[in-house]
Amino acid sequence: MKKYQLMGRKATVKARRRNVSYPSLHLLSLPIEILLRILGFLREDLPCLLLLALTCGKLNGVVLKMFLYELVQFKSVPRFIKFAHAHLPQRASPLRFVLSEPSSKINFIRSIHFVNPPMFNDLNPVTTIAGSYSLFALDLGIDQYKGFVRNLQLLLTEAYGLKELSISEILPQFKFSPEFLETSHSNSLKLRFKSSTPSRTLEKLSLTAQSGWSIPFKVDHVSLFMRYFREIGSLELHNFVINDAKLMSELALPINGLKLSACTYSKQLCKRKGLDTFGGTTCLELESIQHINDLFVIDAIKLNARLSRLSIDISSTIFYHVDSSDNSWKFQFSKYNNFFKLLCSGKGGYCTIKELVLTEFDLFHTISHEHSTDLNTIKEEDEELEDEIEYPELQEEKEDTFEYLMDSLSQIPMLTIVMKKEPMVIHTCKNCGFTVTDSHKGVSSLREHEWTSLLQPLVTNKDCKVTILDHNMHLLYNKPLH
Amino acid sequence: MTKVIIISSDDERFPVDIETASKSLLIKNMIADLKPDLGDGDDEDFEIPTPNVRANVLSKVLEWCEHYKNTVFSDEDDEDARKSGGIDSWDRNFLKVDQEMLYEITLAANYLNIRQLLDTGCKIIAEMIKHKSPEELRKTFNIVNDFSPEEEAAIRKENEWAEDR
Repeated sequence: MKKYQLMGRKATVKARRRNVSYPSLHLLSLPIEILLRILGFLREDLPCLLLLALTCGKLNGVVLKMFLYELVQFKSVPRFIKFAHAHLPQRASPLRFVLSEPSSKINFIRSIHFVNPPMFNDLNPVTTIAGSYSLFALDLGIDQYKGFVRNLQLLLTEAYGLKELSISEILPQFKFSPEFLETSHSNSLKLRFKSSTPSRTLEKLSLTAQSGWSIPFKVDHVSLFMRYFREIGSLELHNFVINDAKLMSELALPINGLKLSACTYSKQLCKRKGLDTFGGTTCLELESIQHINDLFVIDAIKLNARLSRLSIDISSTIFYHVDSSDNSWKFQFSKYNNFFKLLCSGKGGYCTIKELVLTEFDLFHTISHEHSTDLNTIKEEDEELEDEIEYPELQEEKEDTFEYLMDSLSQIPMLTIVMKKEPMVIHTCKNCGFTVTDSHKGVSSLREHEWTSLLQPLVTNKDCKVTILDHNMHLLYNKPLH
Repeated sequence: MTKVIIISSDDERFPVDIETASKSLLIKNMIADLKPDLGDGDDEDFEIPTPNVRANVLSKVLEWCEHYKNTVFSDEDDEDARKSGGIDSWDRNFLKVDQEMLYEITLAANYLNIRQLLDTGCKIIAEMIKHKSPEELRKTFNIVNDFSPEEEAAIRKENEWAEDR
């Protein structure tokens, strides 16, 4: 074989594996869905899966593709560097620009999770929180930080199947420093010739602050990903502080959906100023809302005039108060009914909101149904007139009831209610309405006409599409637009 | 009392009551679609053929259904609960069978859509995989090693990063 015939040939040539036929009742003859189900019970037991991958070619393929490399988790930087050396393109020598070929396993990666990412603190390794607590960060040094950033960039370049990326246990000092991004970027020949406008979409990016702390969200937390992805489908922030003063005058990030979980909104600027960073956000999801002021983030984001879908976690403690009469948690209809009325009104800045999703919903038991028979309603004409004159307040609609909330919600074009898992019991009327005999009934067992009776104001408004889902997102009730 | 007659691939007939047969979602849906008034004074038995299940396997599967006919299983869609749950001692004894039979019961549970039995069968097989070296696994499951020593070493090397994860 002449020298030129070897050019362009890969360093390793896969050995042709001999075909082994097994009887029909054999582990390797089981349908793939059953084999995956079996191995699914070993998902957490990685050493066991690694040993199984060494038994034969077929199991090696299944384990690596469907388990080991599908969701990759790095709990430390050395582990990630080790992975990078085995699978990512590396320079053969410091004097050469030519990179080695990436491993084929990179194509299996769908999701990556980094725990406790390294940070490079050029100023002060001690962060003072609230002027009292000093947080000593583990500064691993510039080399390890640079190694992490460089290899992460290589990974983002090569992992074309990547859909989700999450970083947890983020320290307050963590960020992607622009100066290091430039340095590492220029290292790769492949990246030099790469088109400057990325075309891929990252479906989900999740950032979680270190346990016990809430840290301010900065654009530098996500700046690296904007170099590789045209759009981020959903950015999830857990335990962050959204400070409008810090996010002002930043470029609008191509973030379609924003989920804020246990995040605090710090408003320092005037009311009419929006969050420029989230200028492209169309969906906002609020989960575990900490304080009533955090709801103002809706106002700040809706100023982008693009917000069309809003999701609110109804189980957040801000919506409830302890009723002194029986020491139980009660939904504050009197406090929040008008808030929801405004949200669903479609007026002013809320005109862009077309869909409202209420998650962890468990308010059907609060229906104040009062059964009335025909006998109760028969009145003499004079009596009726007298009642109207003497007690005009009886005719007014109460604003602190579940029915009023439903009536307010009926103004939104699309309403989705996702039920809480437990309890799923409603109080029903024994004499009329949706059930005859049961005094308590599981929500999942309600029939079409029972839902219709239960959601009366929503059903009456023909311009409101209502969807009720259980906690597993299975459809319980659907009322299309008329 | 009206019975459901389940017919195996080798034409053996197994008369069972509706509750027992309904543990299989496939059969439950067939009854709902084809004979919704079954058991409401209708004396005619309802025959359901299962062309993929042999008589000795069907008999074992129906024994399981009979044992659990009055049990209401927890949320089937809760993936975490499904995976973290242990194996019931009765199930463990019930599935003390040879490997071929275990595979056949698991396949039948999959075909008949009996999720709890399918999960139990898969968990038992998963337990057989645990704590074994590649050589022990090959011996237990009669797997032929089609790797050369160099290939095996290369696989070990490329997955080294995950070993102490």
